Amino acid sequence: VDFNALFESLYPSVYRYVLRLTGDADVAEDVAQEAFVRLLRQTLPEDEVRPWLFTVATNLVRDGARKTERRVRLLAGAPPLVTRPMPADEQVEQKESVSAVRIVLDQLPERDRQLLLMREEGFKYEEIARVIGVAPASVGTLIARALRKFTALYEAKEVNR
Amino acid sequence: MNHAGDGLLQAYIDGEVTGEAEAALVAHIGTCATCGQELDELRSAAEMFHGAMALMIGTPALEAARTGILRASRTHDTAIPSIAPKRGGIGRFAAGSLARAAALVLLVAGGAAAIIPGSPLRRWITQGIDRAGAALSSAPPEATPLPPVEPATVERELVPGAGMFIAPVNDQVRVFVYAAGGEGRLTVRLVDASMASVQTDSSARNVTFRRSAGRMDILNLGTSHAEIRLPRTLGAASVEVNGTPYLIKDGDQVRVTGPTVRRTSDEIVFRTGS
Repeated sequence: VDFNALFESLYPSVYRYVLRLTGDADVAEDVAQEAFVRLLRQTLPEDEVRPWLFTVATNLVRDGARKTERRVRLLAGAPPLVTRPMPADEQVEQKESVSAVRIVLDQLPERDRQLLLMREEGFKYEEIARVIGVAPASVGTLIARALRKFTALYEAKEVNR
Repeated sequence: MNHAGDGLLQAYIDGEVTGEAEAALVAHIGTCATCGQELDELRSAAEMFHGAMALMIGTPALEAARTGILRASRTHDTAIPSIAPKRGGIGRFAAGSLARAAALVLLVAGGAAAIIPGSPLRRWITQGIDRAGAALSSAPPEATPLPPVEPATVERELVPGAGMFIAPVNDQVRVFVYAAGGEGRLTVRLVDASMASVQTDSSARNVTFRRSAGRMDILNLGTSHAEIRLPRTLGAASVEVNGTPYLIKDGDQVRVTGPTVRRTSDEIVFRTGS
């Protein structure tokens, strides 16, 4: 299988999954890259690549191995990265919205987050079951419960804003 | 049919129920207000979640990631043997011994020739000494033990491959070095290149690299020597060692704040130990 084709079709998905799971862009880049580096050492049937990548990414996040050494503090005096200019009110609004979603996601149990985020990436129940380690027949029920939890928490958060 | 239940309804929403099972479920939902309401609730919950997730779409630096993955993979596969070459082996031992013996003979002969000014052998012997010296200096580290030198003058060979490139983001690069100590050295060099790069020497057996957008972390440098090459044209760059800023580049201006061993216009050698 061509690496470039795999990378272009799967890297954004793995990155997005980890970013949503952790809320940390640095961790998302590290984990996604590490998963692909490990993939290059594997020989896998094409249809197993995607679940394999997500399993590795999930385990890397779970282990927290990447996070322990990560430094949040920016170099004192270093120039900040330039970001796309956005009107101040939009910035505030977006920041609050993202923060609310992040808080709610973090309130969910880890397994619920993984279930919902893998579903969001379009995984089949059988694949989700394999990555998360649950029975395939239970995935629908677990997702429904997780969605209800998320909705209740999110609505409560929105009312308080 | 009894009520469908959350799991089956969710599976239906997610396209996991097909064929006869789907037909039966659809027929049931059409006649069961409870299940119809459940289905609506689950659908709106799924839509709410999808909408919330749309707020959390990051933009990965694809090209930097692709380059990083391929280089990291190559580094894992090819650089480790050159970083930590196997010791021993009859062939290597014999080659090293012969080289040393040849050098000894030439040195002795050279000494003899040196006392005979104008000897026709002198030039040939001198060239032989130079060649032997060059061969020894390029031999593997274990075959050419370095003479004892003062720590402040230790310089180590940089091995190609034990390093990585960093693609600038917004014309900026940041490099963080961790666990550097002892009498380690860090060289920062301004180069004519579009990508920044980091390379470590042959003693850096435990060093690992981590990379994210416009950023490189060098972990476990220890007392090894690392060389950071920054594009001369880079808009901004910074180098931090063990939590201390060592260098900040802002356009053409380079501000050096770390302990230096020597400095030229294009190269700054820092001390990383205490």
